[in-house]
Amino acid sequence: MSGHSSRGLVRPFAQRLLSADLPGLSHAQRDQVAAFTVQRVDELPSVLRLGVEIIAAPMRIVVAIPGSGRAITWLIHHPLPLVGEYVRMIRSLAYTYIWEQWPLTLPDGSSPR
Amino acid sequence: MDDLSLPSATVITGAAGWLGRALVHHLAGETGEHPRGGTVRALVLDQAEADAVHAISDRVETVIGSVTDPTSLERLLVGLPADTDVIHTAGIIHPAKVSDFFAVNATGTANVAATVHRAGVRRLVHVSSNSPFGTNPSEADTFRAHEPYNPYLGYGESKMQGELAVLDHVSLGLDAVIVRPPWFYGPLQPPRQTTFFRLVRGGKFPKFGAGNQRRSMVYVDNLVQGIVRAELTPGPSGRAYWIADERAYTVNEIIETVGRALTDEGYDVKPGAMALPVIAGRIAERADRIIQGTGRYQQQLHVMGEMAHTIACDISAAQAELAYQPQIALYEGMRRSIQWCRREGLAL
Amino acid sequence: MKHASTTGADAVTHAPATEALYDAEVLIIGSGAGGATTAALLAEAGFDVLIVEEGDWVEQGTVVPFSLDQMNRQYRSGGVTVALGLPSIAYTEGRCAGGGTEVNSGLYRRPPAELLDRWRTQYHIRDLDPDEMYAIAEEVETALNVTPVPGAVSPASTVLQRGADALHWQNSESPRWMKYPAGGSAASGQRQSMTRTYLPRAQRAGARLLTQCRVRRLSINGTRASDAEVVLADGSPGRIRFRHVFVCGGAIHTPALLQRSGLRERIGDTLAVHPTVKLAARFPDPINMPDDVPVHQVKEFAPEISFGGSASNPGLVALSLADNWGQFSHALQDWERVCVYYAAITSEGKGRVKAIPGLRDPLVTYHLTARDRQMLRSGLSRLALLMLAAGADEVYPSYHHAPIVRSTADIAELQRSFATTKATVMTVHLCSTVPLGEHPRCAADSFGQVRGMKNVWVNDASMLPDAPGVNPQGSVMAFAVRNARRFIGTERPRG
Repeated sequence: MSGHSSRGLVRPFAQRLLSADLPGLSHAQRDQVAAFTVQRVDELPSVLRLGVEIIAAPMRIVVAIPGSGRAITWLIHHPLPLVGEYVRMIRSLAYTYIWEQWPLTLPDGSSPR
Repeated sequence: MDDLSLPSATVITGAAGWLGRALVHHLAGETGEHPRGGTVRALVLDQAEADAVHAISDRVETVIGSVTDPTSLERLLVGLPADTDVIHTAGIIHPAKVSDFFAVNATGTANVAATVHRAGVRRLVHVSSNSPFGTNPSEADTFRAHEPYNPYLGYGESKMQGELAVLDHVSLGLDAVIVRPPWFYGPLQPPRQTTFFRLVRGGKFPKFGAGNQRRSMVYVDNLVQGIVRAELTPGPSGRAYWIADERAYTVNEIIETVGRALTDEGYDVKPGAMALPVIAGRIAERADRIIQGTGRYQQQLHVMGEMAHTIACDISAAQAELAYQPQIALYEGMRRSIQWCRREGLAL
Repeated sequence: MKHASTTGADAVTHAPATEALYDAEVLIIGSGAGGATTAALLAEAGFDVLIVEEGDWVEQGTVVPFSLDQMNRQYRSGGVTVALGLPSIAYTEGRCAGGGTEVNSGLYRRPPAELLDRWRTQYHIRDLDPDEMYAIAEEVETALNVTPVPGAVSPASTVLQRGADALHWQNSESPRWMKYPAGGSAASGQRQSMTRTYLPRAQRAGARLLTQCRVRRLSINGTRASDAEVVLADGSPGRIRFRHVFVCGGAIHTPALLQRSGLRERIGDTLAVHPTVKLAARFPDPINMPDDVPVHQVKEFAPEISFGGSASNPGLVALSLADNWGQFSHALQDWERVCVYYAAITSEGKGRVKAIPGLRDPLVTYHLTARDRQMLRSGLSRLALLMLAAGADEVYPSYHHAPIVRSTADIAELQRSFATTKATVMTVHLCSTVPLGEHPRCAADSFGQVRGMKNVWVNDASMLPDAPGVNPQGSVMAFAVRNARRFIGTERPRG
């Protein structure tokens, strides 16, 4: 159907969320996980995808602002209506993927030695 | 399995309360249904309470003290044999301030459990409440024998802490059984219950929504039987039982049955009830929560807030394990209650 | 035009790359529990049947159950579908040959007698005879080999049994549509889903199956539908002409298709689900089995509340802990000792499915009532108690700022802090968007014929009058067989 990808909107936020939540995750893993979340967002049913993009757009702008790290950290730890649902969706997808792919991953995202 | 033998001594805390006096009557009074010999000793707050207890049975020994005063609890147990059973009914339900809930129902119960554990009595029967379990999540729901705690405001929280204190001592070797009665009714009632009859008579009893909320209630003599069964039935320590009438009643049924009992006792009754939207009950509950948050307590608000909910419990565990058999149901119990009020000269 | 007796994936008709035209006496849209049984019965009765399925045929054993790979290949939208509301409710739908039967936990429950009785009276369902329904149920149970686990059930299932027994809560093993090899254990079962049972049966009787074929709309003239506009695997358009059509696309896509085709009255307005909340629990010993689910269910509070176990591979354990990662994540290192359990309720709330012009997928909404929220709180709390009674060390409820439950006193904190808006609420049982019965709110008649239409039927979870309070597939199949027989009794094959 709609050929465009949500990559530009979703990927930067997913990466920021992952580095805040799971600082031990390697760059390569983070990219892989972010790519997976983008792929799932692209497959969302029409209305949902539209909704996610409407929320993701301002979040994308916040991520782009220099020094917005604190604001992001606050956002991803406080379940706000709608925004919280977006955060939860990205987090759920990412965590499920990480621990299915690499079950031994430690809670901070690092791999066991 | 056979019952445990009757104990050489029985101790009752809160003996001058509604339930306490009913216990004194049935265990040591002349026309009691569960007579027993041996020592019966009662904890009372003051001489007036002692006199009230002696008016029911003059063979009861009274000790003046309080569950909030551990030294008075030591005195309560002085000189009693090892086969002493303690029935702990002392509690406060409508206090002046919220902190009293905790002083009496939580700390007081912890004091009782600690003292009787140290003294080495045979068994403690702790009278708890439905309130540690809050209200049912729907009108169709019924509390089973085992339920997660969900304390209803200050009273519920304090009664939960009381149960937990008893269970702490159970884990350290105390033999204790918990009895959980819901809303009770019957003779020896305190003055607030006459308000209940007056509201029904005037057609002004508050009814929220369709009045299909279910309420478990227990006639006080049924409760006494349940307590005695819990005391005398052998079994592992730490069990807990709902003790209530055979089944729960809907609010409509309660209003109708009490109205009928009043009519049959010769009172004029204005049919109907004060119909209120469910939201009014929720508002009362919210207000109660806020006021209790400031440490104060407002009885009417509390009762209103709770009336909009279902509080129904399943007594089948008590029936199966304790051979508890409730004898009286709502209509008969209410008639007896009304007759008692009239004998006492209480205006309804 | 009937095919030879090959079955399974080999017999799948792959759509040609050019604009195609198909003819069928009976078109069946969807190949899940409803569509596959309808197809088998009608084909065996001599009708010329064409089944179209939006998803692919995925051979069992080629995907790991409950994995993301399976979600990719056999679920709609990779398993990420949501009914919007406060809170939103995440749901999943199978989208593959065999539909939900390929991907669910395979637990089977007959529709309880009280349920059939309530449905019959409340929705005025004609000729709903419990004896007939249970005779059909037996037939279905034989066809699917519905059976308990041979030998010992898994440790994660024993947890439910042990906890419930300690609390004197009624519990039982739910049988599954599984075949176990001789001497086999709980983990060695072979799922008797539609691709193993009714679909090959339909194909043996001559039914054709067209996979990766999406139906956009039905053309309707007056009281008859004449053909279906479809999109084929390669994206090219096609058309299927039929005499009769059974829409069996599941509770979301059946009403959406009917709405896109211009049938909107009472359709899609009564979505029913079993809202579900979850927790993870850690035990002293290993209990996890990554690619299977517990078979015990605790039915003490049924139908209002049911408890059971969920798929719990490490990814799904991580998912259940994600709402409170800071406090809960340590449990993941012990994932072999952790399993995820659920509390599901029957809801008094209502949802809607609305096809929106220009969009591929419908808007799905669901509203939980105040009573539903209390039931979810109570369900999760009672589930936590069940876990403690079964010997759990720690319980991790799935909502923001939940406490770790280690004692009964901690459950009081759970009850205080729980709110559905903080919780991950989900559901797997969707139904009732085209309810059957003679009652004015029903969108189809007592046998699934869409009101006002002479040749359009629904025969999937959409037709259930409301949420059954038990795993619905047994109910769907019993009704589907009943309705298919009725059709066979009144319509003649063209021959």
